[in-house]
Amino acid sequence: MNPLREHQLMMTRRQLLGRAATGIGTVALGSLLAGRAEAAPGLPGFPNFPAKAKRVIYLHQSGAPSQMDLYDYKPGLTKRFAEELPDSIRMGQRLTGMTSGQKKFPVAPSVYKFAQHGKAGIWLSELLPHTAKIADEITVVKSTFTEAINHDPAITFIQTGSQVAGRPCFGSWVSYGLGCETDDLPAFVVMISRGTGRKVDQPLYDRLWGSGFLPTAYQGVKFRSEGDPVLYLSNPPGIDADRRRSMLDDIRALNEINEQQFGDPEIVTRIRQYEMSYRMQTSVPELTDLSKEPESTFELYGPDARKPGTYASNCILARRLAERGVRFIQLYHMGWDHHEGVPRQLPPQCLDTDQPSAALIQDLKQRGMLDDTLVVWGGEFGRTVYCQGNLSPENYGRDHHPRCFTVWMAGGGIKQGLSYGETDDYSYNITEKPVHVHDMNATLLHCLGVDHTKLTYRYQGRDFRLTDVHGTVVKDLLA
Amino acid sequence: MSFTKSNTRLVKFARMMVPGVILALQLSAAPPVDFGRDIRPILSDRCFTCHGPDAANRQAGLRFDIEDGAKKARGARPPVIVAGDVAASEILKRVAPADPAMRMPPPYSDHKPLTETEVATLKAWIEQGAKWQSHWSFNAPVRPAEPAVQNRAWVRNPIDTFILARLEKEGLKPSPEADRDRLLRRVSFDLTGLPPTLAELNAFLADASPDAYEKAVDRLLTSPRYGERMAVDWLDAARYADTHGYQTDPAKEIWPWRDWVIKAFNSNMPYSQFTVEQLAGDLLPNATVEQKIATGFQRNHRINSETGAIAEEFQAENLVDRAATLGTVWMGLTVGCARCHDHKFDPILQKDFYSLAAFFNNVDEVGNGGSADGRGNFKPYLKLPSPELEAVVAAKDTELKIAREKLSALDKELAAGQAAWENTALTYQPKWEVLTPASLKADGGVTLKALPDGSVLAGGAMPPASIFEVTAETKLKNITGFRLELIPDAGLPGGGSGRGTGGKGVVTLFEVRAGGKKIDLSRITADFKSEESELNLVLHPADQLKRGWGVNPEMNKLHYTVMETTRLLSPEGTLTFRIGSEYEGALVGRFRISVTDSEYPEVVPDDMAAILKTPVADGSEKARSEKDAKALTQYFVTHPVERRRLSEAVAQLSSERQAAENKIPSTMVMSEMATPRDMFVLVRGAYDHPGDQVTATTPGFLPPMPVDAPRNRLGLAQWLVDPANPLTARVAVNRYWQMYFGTGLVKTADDFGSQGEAPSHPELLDWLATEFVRSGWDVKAMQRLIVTSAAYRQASVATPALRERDPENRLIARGPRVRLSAEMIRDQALSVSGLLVTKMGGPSVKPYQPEGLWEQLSAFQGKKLFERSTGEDLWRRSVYSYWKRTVPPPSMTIFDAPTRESCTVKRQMSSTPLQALALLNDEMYVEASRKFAERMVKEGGASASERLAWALRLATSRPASASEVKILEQGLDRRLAQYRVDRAAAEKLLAAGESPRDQAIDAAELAAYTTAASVILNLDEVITRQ
Repeated sequence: MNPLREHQLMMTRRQLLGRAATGIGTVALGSLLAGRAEAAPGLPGFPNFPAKAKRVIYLHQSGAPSQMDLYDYKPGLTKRFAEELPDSIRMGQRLTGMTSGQKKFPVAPSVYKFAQHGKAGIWLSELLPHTAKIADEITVVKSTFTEAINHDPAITFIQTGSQVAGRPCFGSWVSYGLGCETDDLPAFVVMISRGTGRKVDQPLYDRLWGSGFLPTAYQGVKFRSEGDPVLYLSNPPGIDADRRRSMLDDIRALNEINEQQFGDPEIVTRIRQYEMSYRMQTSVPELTDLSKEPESTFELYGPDARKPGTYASNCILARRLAERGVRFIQLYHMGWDHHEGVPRQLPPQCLDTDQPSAALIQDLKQRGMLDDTLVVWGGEFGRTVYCQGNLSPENYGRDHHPRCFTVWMAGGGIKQGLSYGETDDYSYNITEKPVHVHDMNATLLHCLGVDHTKLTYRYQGRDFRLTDVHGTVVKDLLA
Repeated sequence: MSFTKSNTRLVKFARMMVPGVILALQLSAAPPVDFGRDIRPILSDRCFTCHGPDAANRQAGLRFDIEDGAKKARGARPPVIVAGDVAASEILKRVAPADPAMRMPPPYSDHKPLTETEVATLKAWIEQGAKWQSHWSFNAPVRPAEPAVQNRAWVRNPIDTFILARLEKEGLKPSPEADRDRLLRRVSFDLTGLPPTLAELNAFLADASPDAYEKAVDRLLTSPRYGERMAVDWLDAARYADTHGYQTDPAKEIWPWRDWVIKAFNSNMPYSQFTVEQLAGDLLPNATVEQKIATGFQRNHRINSETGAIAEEFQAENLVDRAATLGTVWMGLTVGCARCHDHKFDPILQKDFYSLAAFFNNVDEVGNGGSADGRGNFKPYLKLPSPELEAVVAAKDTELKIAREKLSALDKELAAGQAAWENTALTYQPKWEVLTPASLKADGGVTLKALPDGSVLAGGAMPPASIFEVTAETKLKNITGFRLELIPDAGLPGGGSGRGTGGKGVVTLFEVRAGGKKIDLSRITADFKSEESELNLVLHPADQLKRGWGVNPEMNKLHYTVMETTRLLSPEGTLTFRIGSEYEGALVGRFRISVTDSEYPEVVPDDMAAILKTPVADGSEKARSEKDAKALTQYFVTHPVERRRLSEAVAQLSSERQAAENKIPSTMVMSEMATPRDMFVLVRGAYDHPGDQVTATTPGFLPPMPVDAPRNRLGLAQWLVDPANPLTARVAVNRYWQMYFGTGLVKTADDFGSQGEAPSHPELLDWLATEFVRSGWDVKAMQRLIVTSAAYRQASVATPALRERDPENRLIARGPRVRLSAEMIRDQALSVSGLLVTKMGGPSVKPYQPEGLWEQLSAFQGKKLFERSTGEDLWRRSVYSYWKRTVPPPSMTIFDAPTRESCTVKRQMSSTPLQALALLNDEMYVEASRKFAERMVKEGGASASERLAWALRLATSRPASASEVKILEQGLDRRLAQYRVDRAAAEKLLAAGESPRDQAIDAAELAAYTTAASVILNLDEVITRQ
């Protein structure tokens, strides 16, 4: 880490508190702890310029949704059914080990109907009727592309800016740079749901919400629908709130004695962490309890909304987290890796996600929060136009395709109602306005008031950043 | 709270400082400018990116990483730095120009401009003669003389002279020695990762001899716990784990390497040998099994076996990881930066990087793993000696040989009957016995009706999918197959056999159970099938792909499919069939099940039918080929009942053999291929862009390998531990220092290069490095030296003044106060509670963790993956805990254990609310609190105050104060009163964990003490070495 920054951070976050404590005695320390301490600040100088968005809700669709069955309309392909993908399109580009041995690469046109929606006439497939309703809110980027061709490297790349494990993820960068607006909840929360389209699908990894070389405090906190919503949140059986409070009082009293003797500000920090853990025991159950949500909420988010652990339920939680000042809310929805049977597997995935995603946008908007909340929807790469496995007019599979895929975004700082970028007739290569993953991440940071080249952390002698040494803000996407 | 003005002051203060000179500026006024300490860090940080070692990106031919580059004229252009001549030194004009657009580093770059202080320092340096030094860590350390100090009485060993000389120069005094009890606790954790027992503590306090402390240190160094403690840091560096780390994160087995490391530390293997055996043990003459196991070091990295992963791509990643890890662990250099281009700051060329990687390119491996052995290991691996299992395998091999010979003899015998069979094969009809259903059931509202001919007619609701369950009895023995017929029925749409449009019906599943056990079916054939049919799915249904056997467009004709049994089946009792009709819109309508014991139950498969129709070889072109003839014979002979029996026996033996073989532990190792792979520079680091060919050699800026040294891993390892190597010893002793003081003498333990921080005590670092080599790389001696120094033995109490002056304790004017590592925190709880099991080594264990962690992220929904250990494996030391890389144990990562995905030589040290929750609520800690409470009651004395004081002393090693005991006792009393009223709550609390509870102690009392124990285990002091 940059020693200067480290110093500043230490001063602001810990030592200052410790200094105040040792300077003004433990009476003051006691009163300080009894009240609310200020939530963790971000880095000095951040945001770098006025932010449009204060927080992010990132709806990651894990496994890679098929862009040409959902967003990237290719009507010309119908008449090319089963034709071999022309070499002029494929251009010898590498394929995964799953299809590189195929003798044929027959074109598999989408079986779905498309229509234009909203003022901008955004093309959407019939599988996304609810997304159609928010067409005037979103910017659909059809020309996103990545470098990795398999899931683990690709999802790691889009979340951390590197295919290799070890870098901090997007949410960690943002909470490191911008801090937290709440001291009752973590700055960065992660929620996971399983798709119904493909039950045996790609796994996820803790590293996707890991803080890499950033301090551990910036890692994402996983909220779970089974067991404790946050690991170890509940008191063990036999410890009620009163006993817990009295234990915490004992711990604090004893820690204060030690602090008086050793004067280490770390002790004060630890006392604060225990108090926050106590508050989380109230704030997290309050947050995850949807019983007080009105009926209209569940209607808006659709039939799964009452089922804990579903994508719909997680979308409601995302809005509640956003309301409570959580900086970065990361959802993962599994089940999009459709190597076979796209027409069987894709519709259930869309049923899982279409209505809740659209509902989230509508909900944020009606609460006046869409203006300062950035919402992103997308996977880690796209899928191939050529069929993996057997092709029939009703059935086809699609392999991984890094060279183009579709992501949509909405809210703080993003244009309302825009279709951006174009691909060739096969949704294989980008023909207009390519947006590299680094460009996308730079743009998203920009909405948060962050210059992506300035949000750095020194590690092993180098100032690392989310966008590595690349990335250009795509101004055309900005409102 | 508000940010006070002291904050502003501090920010200003911080802003003045630049990397590397913080200490200097902070601690002494206007020192003479030192190039290495003050100037190189500025040049490196702001200038090297464009004017440094990376030739491809070097601008204007100017470079500041070497003296000539900065001080020599470039053609007609004058030098930018002229010693002693500020006016002529162009550099000063460029770093602080009147016109900001002219500024270097340029405003558009990512680099910040020089601060006023930095410009002044640069100017002063030029004024003082611009003396240049090469980078400190690239020159071999020279053993410095011990500096003179005033307070000789404080000095216990040479380390102290270096520390004290600096303190005296800064006008500081060392702190008094720590209290003996706290000191023993500190050193016990540092050397063994565990707190002292009360017996050890009392013995130490009772020992009045002048070398009591040294004796305690020696006791700790000979404890087997020492190796376990030292191993943890090495495991981080080696990125050791029990899984491969990508995607589905499959299991591997390499704990024998972990045990090797622990043994190596305990036997005090010299660091040189430790290095050589891990990098090249297999290349040593007459390498032992242990020496081969040691080479697992460079097989610990992640391996991507994701379906679709490109082998060449991940072969390159493996090499990069090995080279980068080697660089960090032994050289303290960020060599990985030179993967894509020449290093921006250090003189490591891209070519150097690939030349270094080339040492590891001859391993006989597949980049994406290839196929794993029975233990999940990818080649090369080493089966560990396991005489009992090997004997089982050998015995099975013998039996197999005999059985196979019999089989082959039988085949010859049977072949004689082939011609006769061929005549009737295509028209042959097995004898089918139609089964009369005894019971019928279907889900989704479908109704099933038995018809007189034994067939079944479906009706009722039209769900998207339904499973039919049919039971029936048969007296037939030696069943060889089942037949399922789809029968057209006038009552079905279009008079077809199914209920879908036009009478479509698709069978998606056929399953038979006898006595509750699923019967293996080996082959499925059909007299007719639709184009879309995928027959195999009927026997092996995919989770999602609900397809199978349909008869479109011949729905109006009777068709059948036959499933052969793998083993002859002689059922006793009822057969239960499950027939799937899960293809939406194509429910099955009318069907019938039959059984047979005929030797050839099936429809002759199409390929065999084709061969049968071809005349036997007669030399003509149209005749059967030799290959086809063989295939047909094979088909023919595999059917007769006797042949099946023998074949089953072979299969059974073979699977028993495999099971025994799979139990033999293996461990991943390195081994060389006979023909080395070629190595190329990878352009921009991309595996598919090879550039110039390179050979294995060490970086050019470091002392060369001896001419006669082998150009392989052994030569590399020997080069690393050659005393001429400037880095290896320094990097190692710095990590040891970091272990004890929290921060190394070089704070950037992973970067001794140009961007790394200069050592706080350069002479001490060099002295320690040379001492390490002089001692024959004696690891224990080095630990002993550090922990017996007066510097280490200081109290960690700091006055506010000292804390402000030196917040990070870089000057060592006080003892270290460092939070315990994740492993130490858990192991301490196990230790004080009496739960700790000190069994060493063996397969990793799975202690308590919250339910569902692995399952939530897994690809396989609904499948239980984490099987918690039981009994003593719940309480082993944390170094033996199973490490799943993509979901590591949260009780470890919450306390900053790294994920072990890549090499880590310095852990984070955080303080978070999740840590509080884990320590308070994790089942493991609740159980430990209960066992700790039992000890309090039984061993701590008669009164509550005695017991609490005893417990606090056990956890902190120092006597408890009256006020502390009072706090604990008041809390205890309060909760005891509650538990006496609410005994059910007490019982619930005591139920945590698998260990039995002491029933002799009253539940309310034990519960209250459990809460007190939990309070103690949560104290900051208890999770800290202070």
